[in-house]
Amino acid sequence: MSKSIGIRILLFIPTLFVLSICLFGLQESARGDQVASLCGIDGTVDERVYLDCIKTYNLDQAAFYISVSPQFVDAEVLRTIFPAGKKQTIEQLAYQTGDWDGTIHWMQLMDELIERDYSLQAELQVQINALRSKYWSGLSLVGFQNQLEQINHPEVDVLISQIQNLSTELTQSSPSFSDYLPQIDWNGSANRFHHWWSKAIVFEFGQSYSGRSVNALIKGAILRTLLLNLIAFTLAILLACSLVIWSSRKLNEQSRHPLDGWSSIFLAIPRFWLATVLIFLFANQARFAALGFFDIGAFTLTSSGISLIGLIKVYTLPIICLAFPITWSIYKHLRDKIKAEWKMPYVQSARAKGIPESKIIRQYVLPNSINPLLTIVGSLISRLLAGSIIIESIFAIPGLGGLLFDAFLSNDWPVLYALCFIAGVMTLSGYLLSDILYFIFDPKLRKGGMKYV
Amino acid sequence: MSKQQSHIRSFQSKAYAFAKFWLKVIVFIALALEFLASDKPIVANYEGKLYLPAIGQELFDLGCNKRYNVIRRVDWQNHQGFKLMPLVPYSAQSLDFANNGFKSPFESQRVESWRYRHWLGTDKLGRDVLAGILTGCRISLKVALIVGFVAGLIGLILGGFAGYFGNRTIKWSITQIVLTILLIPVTFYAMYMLGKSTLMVTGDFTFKTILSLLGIFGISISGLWLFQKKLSPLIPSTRRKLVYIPVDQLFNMLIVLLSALPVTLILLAILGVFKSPGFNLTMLLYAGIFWIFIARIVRGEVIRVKEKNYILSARQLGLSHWKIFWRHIFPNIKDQLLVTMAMTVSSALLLEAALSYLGIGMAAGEVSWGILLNQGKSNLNAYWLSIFPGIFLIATVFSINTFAEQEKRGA
Repeated sequence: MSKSIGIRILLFIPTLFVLSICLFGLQESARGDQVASLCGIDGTVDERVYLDCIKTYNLDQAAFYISVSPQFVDAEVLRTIFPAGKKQTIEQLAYQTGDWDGTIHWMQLMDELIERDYSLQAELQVQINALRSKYWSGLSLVGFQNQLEQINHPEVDVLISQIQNLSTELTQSSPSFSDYLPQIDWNGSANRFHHWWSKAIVFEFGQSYSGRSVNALIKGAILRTLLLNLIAFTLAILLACSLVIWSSRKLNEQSRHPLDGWSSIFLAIPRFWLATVLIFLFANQARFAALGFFDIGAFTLTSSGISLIGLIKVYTLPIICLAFPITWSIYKHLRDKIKAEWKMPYVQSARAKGIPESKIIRQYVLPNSINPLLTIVGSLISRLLAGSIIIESIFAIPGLGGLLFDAFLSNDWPVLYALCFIAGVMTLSGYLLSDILYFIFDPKLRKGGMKYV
Repeated sequence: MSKQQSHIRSFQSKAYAFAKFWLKVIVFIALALEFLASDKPIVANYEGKLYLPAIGQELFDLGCNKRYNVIRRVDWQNHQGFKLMPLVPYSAQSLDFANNGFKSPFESQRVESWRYRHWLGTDKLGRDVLAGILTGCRISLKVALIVGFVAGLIGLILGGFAGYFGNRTIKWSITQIVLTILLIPVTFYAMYMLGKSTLMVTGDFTFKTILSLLGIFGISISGLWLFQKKLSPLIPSTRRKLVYIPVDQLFNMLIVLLSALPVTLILLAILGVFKSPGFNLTMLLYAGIFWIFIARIVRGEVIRVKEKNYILSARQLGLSHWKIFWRHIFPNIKDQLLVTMAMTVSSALLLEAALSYLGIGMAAGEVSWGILLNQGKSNLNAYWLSIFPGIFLIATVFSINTFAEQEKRGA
């Protein structure tokens, strides 16, 4: 048994590793400029400020332990080029020509041309500005040739002819097949994934794009979501169990109950639609003054402290919306299971003894049927997180779901992927825990070998 | 049978009948949308000639119906000659400036005749809600087809593979395993380099690029196959020690990895990468996640079926794996596959509606039930924007679920 558990724990670590590689990869390739979002700078800032910024956030390091690039790109130099559009221009030029040294030389000449002081010649200044905006927005070499030919001024003639000569030289070369062969570097622990992963494993997620630390954001939101969801889930389980006991009380005479049909209709009702309808009916003072009892929005502490009425006003509707689909899916599950269990011999013998049917349901059948339900407890936290995304954004509750949704809308990737990581870790460890519990409590598995399921 | 029981049984059969009827209606609306809701007439007489503007215009936009250039800019609403308007004389995008600003279905509307009335009200810009709902049927059918087929295909292939071969059927030598493991990164690097260099040199992807990417993939797969089947038996060292490939276990690890996050979270995490994901791409992403639910069921079913005696005898007769799978296993898991596909489609519809409702995933200008509901969210007093699309959504999901359940019971 200990061997099986050991294998599971051994498998847990690579799974977690692969999951975090996937999430980190997505975060790295997410839309938007990472440097600009992290440091709040744009292309007009001084190069030293930029270099300081990327050094602070380790952005000058490689993304992963191994970096692979074609022969004609020096990724380490490429990472320090800014702004993002210029980086794209340079990378494009390198791919078109296959000549890294020539490309870098070209970049130096262009930088020299652009960074000179032209404040005395207004016309030239305009032309150079147009050139810079092209140079900084990732355009191809051909576009620059036309632009350069238009500039005709004694002060920059030498430099421009140099650039043009170099450009013609560069356009004649193109990468050969052997240039595409990968150049593999081992970066050691000086890479961004290592920094991210070694912090994330102890739930330390650094800074969000909004300037606050991700941990503080999560800490401010987690309690509300947990409380909301725990109440909703407990309510759903209690309601589903009592409903199923009630509807199964005459299981012998009638195998079907009206609630079965209704439950499949209720299951088709999406949470968000229910929320809209409930808000329309019960939080709509202007239209239905008599019904509009509830409020929408965060419950804030007033000077008089927590008032129960205020809590009820804010959290009743979201709890109903969260609990509604869970109730009916548990009901359906239990009901099917109880119908199957009812044919078992132990039920028949219990009935033969004369035990009342409601007691058989409560004490014998229900505990047996509820067992498989416990497997979902493993993924409960991430499920709750997913469920509260919609409800919290509708009811404007600043919980984890709302945080995640806002992070997605405002492109705040560290928050989004940190929440995904937490949810993933919770689910995976939930699976591991329930597996171990099964091994400990289920004698059938204890005897036999293991099967990774 | 007691009285109540017969009453309930009739509820179930009624639900099944309703489900079949409703699904037919949705498919009909989705296919015949142009004849049901369009701001152009079905048949019209323009300068002595008969035209079919409602569908003809679509063909013209595709570039294969030059004759319709003449009627491109005709104002059909004020057209005096003969015209036969569709049932709803508005399309989902047509703006009715006389009736903008949330006209309720019940209040008086400024329309020429009852024929032009907005039966289910209008939205802020004066767009007809009924036309929007009918257009949403087409979107829903698209969702169902794309997600159902793609997810079903992936689920069938991977689940079938894992279930059929299990952990102890395929045997490879160490050389074969090492070569395969090496080939995977090489192939990915080649595809990445090809894609990136085309993107860098020409500026965008063309059909040719995608073809050559697929070509590289195909070459490496067929090279692998050639090696496994033809070359490795010739090399003596590859026959020395054979190891089982735990296909099923690898499959299970993939499933565990993919189910570590709930579907909504995976979708948000992946959608963050794309600048403007279109409808088709989003649907493919849905399919790329939902296949795990199908694959699990397929795997279980294949394992159940492959223990049967007729499969053993087929194997004894020397039938190939391919033939055993398609002739003897697939027909027996087909019904279950369809049921699971239907359940997957219904949850994909719900998810699509939920994400559109939050304003994620759909491009601007698209109309679906979720987008109508989104408008209803921001204007709660315009209840017709929430109630009617919601009823359509609920009825469709309920129908698919009921249909699937009934089929499962029959299967």
